[in-house]
Amino acid sequence: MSRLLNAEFHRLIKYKPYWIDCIAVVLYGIYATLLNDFGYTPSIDSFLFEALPYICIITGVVFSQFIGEDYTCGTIRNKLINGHTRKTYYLTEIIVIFLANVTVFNLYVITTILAGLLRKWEFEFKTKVLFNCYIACIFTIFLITAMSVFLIILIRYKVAGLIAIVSLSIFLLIIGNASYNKLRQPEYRLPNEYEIEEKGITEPIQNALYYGGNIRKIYEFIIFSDPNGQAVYDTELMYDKYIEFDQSKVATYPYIKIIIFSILESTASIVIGIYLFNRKDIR
Amino acid sequence: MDYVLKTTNLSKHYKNFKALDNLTMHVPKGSIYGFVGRNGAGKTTLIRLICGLQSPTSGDYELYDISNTDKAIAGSRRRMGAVVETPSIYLDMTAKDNLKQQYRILGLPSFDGLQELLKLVGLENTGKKKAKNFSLGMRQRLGIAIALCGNPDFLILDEPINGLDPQGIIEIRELILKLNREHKITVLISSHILDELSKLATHYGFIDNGRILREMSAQELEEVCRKCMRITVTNIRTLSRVLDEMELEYKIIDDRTADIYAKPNITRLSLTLAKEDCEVISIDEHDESLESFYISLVGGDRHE
Repeated sequence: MSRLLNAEFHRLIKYKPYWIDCIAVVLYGIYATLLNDFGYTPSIDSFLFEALPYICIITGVVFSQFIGEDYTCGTIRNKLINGHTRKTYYLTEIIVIFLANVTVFNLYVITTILAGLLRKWEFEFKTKVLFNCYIACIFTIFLITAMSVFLIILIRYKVAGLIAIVSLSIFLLIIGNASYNKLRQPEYRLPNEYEIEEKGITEPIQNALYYGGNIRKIYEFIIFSDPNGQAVYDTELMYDKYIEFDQSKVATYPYIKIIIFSILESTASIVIGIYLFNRKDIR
Repeated sequence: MDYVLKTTNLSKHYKNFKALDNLTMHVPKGSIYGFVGRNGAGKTTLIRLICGLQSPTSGDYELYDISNTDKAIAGSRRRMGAVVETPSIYLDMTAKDNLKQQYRILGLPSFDGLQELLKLVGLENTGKKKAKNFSLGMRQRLGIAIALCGNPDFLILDEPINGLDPQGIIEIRELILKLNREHKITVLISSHILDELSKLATHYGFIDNGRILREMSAQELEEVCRKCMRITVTNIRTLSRVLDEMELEYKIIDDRTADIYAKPNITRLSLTLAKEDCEVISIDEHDESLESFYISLVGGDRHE
C-alpha cells in the first residue's frame, strides 16, 4: 500500500483543484474573520470549525474529479495490473482524501486563530472543550471522506459522480440544518412582552417548539448519522453556546456520540464499498 | 514448450451474453502471439480477465504457471505490462511525469532507465508537452512505455494500431519487433487487422464468438496459405507416383485431389498422366490468403 500511497500523494500535490481548494478555504477564513465588522467582539471559538460544511460540499467537487480521472484516463488499470489489490486501491484513496481534507480543515482553523489573535479576540472555551470538538470534527471528516469515496468509486464517472455527491451533500446539509434547528429549541423559554403584560407570566414557560421524547431521539439519530448533520452540529453548537453564554451546555457536547456514529458508519461504508468494488468489472 | 499464459475453458458471461465461451489458448514464451478476431469476438474481454480487471465466470488461466485462483497471481502480474483498449495515461501530465508516476506505483527505488524508456518509444524530446496535446500515435507509444516500466517480460497490447496513421502503424510495428527481438519480451497482440498482424506474429490464435477456433504457428499458417496448384484426377495413386518421379512437393487432399506446391509443366504432367491412364479432371491455381483463411475459419456468411 505504501507504494500506491506514495504515488497518489505525488499526484495530489500536482492536482490543481486541490490547491484551489486550499487557497479558497484560507480566503474564506480571512473573509469570515478579518473583513467582517461584527459590531461586537466575537470569540475565536465561534469561527474555528465553520469550514466543516464547506468540506462536505467541496470534497465531492474536488475528489470526484481526482478519482474519476483514474477511470476516464484508464489509469486505474495501471494500478490493478501491477499487482495492487482493489482493497489497497480503495483504502489508499480514503487515506489520501482524508488527509487532504484534514489539511484543508486545519488551514481554516489556523487562519481563523491567526486572524482572531490579530484582531485581539479571545478564546471563550477551555482548551479541553475545543480539543474534544476538534477531534469530533476530524471523525466527521473521516465519515465524509469514506462516504464520498464509496460513491465516487462505485459511480466511476467524473460528471455523474460529481452531480451525485454534490446533490447528496446539499440534501444532507439541508436535512442536518433542519434537524439541528429542531433540536436547538430550549425546553423552557422566557415569556414575551405580550405574555408578561396581558397574562402576567413572569416565570420561564414550556417552549411549544421543543421536541422531547421519541421525536427528539429520532432527530438526534438523523443528525448524528448524517455526516453533514454532524458538521452542522459541530459548527453551530460552538456558535450557539457562545451566543447563549451557557458554558454548562458545552459540557454536554456529545462528541463521543459523534465519534461513535462516525466510526460505525465509516466502517460500514468501507466494508460494503470494498465488497462491491471487488465484484465490479473494470473496463 | 514453455508457456507464459495458458487458459483452460475460460468463460465470461454478462447476463445472457457469452463474451468468452470455454476459451483455451496457449501463449508460448518468446513469441509474438497474434490474437485475431473480429470486433466483439471476445479479445478485449480475455485481456481484461488476464489483467485482473474482471473475474471469469468459470474456467481458469495460468500466468507464469501461477493459477488465477492463487493469491500469488498478483506477483505474476507484476511481470507483465498491458495496454488495454486505450493507453492508460494521465492527460494533464508530461510523458516523463507519467512514467515517474508509474515508477512510484511499481515502487521502483529510483527513476533509472526512465530516459532510456522514453528514447525507446521515441518520446525523449516531448519536454513539457502534456499528454493531452499528443497525437494518437504518441499516446499509444506512451501507453506502451508505461506498460514497459519495471522491465516486464510479457506485454499485452490490445488493438495497438487502431486509429493510427500509416507512419504511426510502422512505428508501433517496429517497436514491437524491437521489444521482442532485442529485449526478449513475449507479446500478446490483439487485432482485427490481419495484414498488419502477419508482419509481426510468430504464433496465432483465431477467436470467434468467445471461442478459440484454432491456434497455430506462423510457419503452419504460411503452409496453409501457400500458393499451389489444385489438381483433380481419376487416379490419385498414379498422380502421387508421377509427382514423386518429377520430384514435386505435394499434399493429397482426398482420393481425387492433391495440392502441388510448385509450378509444374502442365503439358508434361498431363501427358505423363495420360500415358498412365489417369485422366486430369481439373487444374486450378489455389491461393489462400490470411484473410480468406480466417474467413473460412469463422464462416464467411457471419463475417462483418
